[in-house]
Amino acid sequence: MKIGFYPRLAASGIRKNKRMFTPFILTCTGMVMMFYIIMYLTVSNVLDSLVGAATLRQMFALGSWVIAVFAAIFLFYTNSFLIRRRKKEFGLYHILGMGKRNIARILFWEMLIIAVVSIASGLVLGIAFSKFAELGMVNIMRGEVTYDLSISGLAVVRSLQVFGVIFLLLLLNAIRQVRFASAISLLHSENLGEKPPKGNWLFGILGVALLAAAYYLAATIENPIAALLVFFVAVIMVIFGTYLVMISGSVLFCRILQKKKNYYYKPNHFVSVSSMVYRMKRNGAGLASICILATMVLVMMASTACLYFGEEDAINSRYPRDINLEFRMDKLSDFSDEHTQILKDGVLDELKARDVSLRNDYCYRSASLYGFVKENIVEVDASNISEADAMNSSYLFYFVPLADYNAMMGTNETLEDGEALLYSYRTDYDSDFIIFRNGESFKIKKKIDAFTGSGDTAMDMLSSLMLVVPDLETSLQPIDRIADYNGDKLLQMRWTCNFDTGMKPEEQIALYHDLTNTFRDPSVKERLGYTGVYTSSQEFECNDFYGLFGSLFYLGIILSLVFLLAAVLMIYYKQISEGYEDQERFDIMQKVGMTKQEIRKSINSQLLTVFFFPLALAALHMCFAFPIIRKILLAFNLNNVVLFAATTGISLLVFAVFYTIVYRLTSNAYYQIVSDAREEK
Amino acid sequence: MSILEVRGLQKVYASRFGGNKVEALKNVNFSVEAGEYVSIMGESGSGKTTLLNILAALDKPTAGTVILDGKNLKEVRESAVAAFRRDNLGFVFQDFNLLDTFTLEDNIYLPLVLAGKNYKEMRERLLPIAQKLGISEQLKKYPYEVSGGQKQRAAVARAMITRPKLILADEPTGALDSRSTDELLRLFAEVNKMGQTVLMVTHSVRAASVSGRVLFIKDGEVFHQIYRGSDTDEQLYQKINDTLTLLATGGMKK
Repeated sequence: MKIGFYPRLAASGIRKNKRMFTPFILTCTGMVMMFYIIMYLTVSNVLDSLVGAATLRQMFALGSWVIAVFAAIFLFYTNSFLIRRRKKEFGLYHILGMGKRNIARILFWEMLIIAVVSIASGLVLGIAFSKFAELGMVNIMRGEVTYDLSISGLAVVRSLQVFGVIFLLLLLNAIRQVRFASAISLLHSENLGEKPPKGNWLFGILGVALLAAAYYLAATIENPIAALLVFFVAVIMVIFGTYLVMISGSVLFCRILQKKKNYYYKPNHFVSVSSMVYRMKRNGAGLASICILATMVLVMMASTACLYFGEEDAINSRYPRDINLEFRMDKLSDFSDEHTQILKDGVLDELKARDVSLRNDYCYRSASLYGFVKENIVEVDASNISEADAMNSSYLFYFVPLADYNAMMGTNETLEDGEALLYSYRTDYDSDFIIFRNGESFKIKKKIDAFTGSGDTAMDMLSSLMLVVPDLETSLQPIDRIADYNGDKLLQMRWTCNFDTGMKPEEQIALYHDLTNTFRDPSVKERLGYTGVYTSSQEFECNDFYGLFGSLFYLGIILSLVFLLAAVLMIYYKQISEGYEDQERFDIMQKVGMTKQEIRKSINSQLLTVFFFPLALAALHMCFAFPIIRKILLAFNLNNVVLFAATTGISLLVFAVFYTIVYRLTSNAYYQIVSDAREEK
Repeated sequence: MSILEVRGLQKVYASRFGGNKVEALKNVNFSVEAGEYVSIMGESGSGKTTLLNILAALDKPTAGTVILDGKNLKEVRESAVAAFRRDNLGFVFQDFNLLDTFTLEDNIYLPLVLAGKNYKEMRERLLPIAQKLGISEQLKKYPYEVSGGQKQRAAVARAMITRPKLILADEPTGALDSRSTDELLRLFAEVNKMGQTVLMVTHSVRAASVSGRVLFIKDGEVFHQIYRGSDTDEQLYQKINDTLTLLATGGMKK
């Protein structure tokens, strides 16, 4: 009889607390499944067939650790709800003469049952879905598809290890909690009343101020490089701000509502507002966590989806033509027409030898250098400028000769000496003059709003200003003399030649490799007179882009799912446990004359606020994150605002739909619990 | 004119599969006149609480009728029961049943808010009641910040503020110390003198002895009743005690 007693007690305990245990087991199952899938993909052979397998592996390995750590934290959180509910039962066992040791045994069996059930079902589901996940990934990254189902032993073992440890920790925590409590405190632990919090003005205002400051930072940022740095600062400010606002601000807000007698003393506000005040402080942290999780999901989904779907754009802008060649020179005199002609003829000969017919081709000379604009004067020496200014005011200056510009654009512009045409890329420049310290100054004759070669600068995250000048050799003489402290010239000189081929992708890639090898040959360099060459092929880079953005997108989806699951369950548990606390309260209200309908209404209004307040705040966060993320995406050569707005909107919508479903489920469960009380009496 | 009439009330509890039947109320008949102060006494299990629940429309009788102010409770629709209760009945419970999320003031307002009254009217109704019950100073406090006696007075205020036809009190002194008990009973007597009809279920002879009439319930029937007549509290106390002794030592009714 003794054998089997504890397991049976544990099993019946789980059965009787179905409402609490089912979601917990589902959560564990989900976590195990996600972890297995990611682990499986990390070690999968399929990865080898994809471009950038090593990067992918690293990214997935990182992803699996993120999930493991998150699972541990999250399961602890949900488990604490369970323990709180069960304490009463354990208190009763204790009073009936069960020692703490016996209770620990029940806990052990309970945890064992949960662990076995959830790990087993998680692994089964994981194995079942891993193939789908793999197919999805291969599809996203446009690799070769295979259809054999396989099980990864290593992934199974890893999952067992990680979740074994997590469950062990959960068990130890549960035992610790029961151990240090007396029978009476166990019995009454659920009824521990709490004082309604006093809203703390200082923290509330601080929270709002933090949020406002973070929003301001995010909304006003101009420079993509600075955006990355500011983004992290803003994220931290938003996280703290959210917690403060949820904990203190919301109490304050409800207090203000309470002061408005005409609003507060209405049947549908009265109960919900007061119970929100009562709870908000305790639940503020929970709500804030939900809000932050929601924001994370939104940011991740929107930006990775945008990166993935916008990669065509990005590739086109970064690699404007099928094949892009850039030859470097080191003397200003190499810009002479004669020299350029030699180079051009040489390149065309090589292409002719390979039967390449050029389409959409354009070639031009250009020189560039970095500079910092300070009060309309361009400073090219970094030591003359503070680091903070350098971050915000640095530009890439491009110089293109008028002849090449006219040839490329089919225009007929003329320029006097000292005049220039200005094209600004990703920035604005208001003044009519550009003055280079220690160098030339140019009067801006006209601003132009398009330049075919602008994509060539796109690989730079910096904003750039392009000046079309009468002649490079003469206009750049003074600037050419400037050297940095190493004595190297600041000016970079190049001849760019980009063209489409009309060939098949494989042929393009072959041609690209062929040309790269040829032009890297020192004897060719000598003959044509250049010092270095950069070649790129849209098709070749494309694969790499798909590898990188595809894996980001994929991880984005999986992590979003994990966080979404977490956010949803957090709410569910919060509401369910509050439902048990509220039972008595609603019972009293019914005695005083509250109708079932009014209860429904009051629950709805309360849940609606609790559910959609974090969602609304998350949406607000997202709105302000929008400009800064857009700037960061610019660094990835993504300048498609419409696309980003669309992915953001869709992410928000998907999230809201999902959320609403859970809201319905929760509100029903809550109502059940609250009205059950009446029937039981 | 009787404000409450109970005729032939029967309540049978059956276990879920129809096995054992327990007859909590057999055949209860009595009536309460407007402005009366009636106590109902009886031992544990005599059916007091069942009776009160039926009077409060919290439970339905198996047979018999309850007529409150000319209205048969049976005819009140299920959906309107709560509103009916709110408008016609006031409750005072043994364990106060105050909501800890509300201040005393808001607790008292609760039924009025549910009835959709505006704040000004509620405030006007509250002030004199709070004054009389001596809780004007405590209105802004939360239930856990005040004493048991003050809590119960707030509960009485909540019962009175709707100006109900009948106040039902279920062991209102059960959780109070003797000083608070005396105070509360004095209050009930005062409220009753102002014309409020009160029906109180109690164990306590001390509590019953302040009322105008005492009903005794035994085995689901009204067994006996005592009118105060011109008796003082002490004399009534003595009579109740005698009756209870009789009941306990086997008042052979059958």
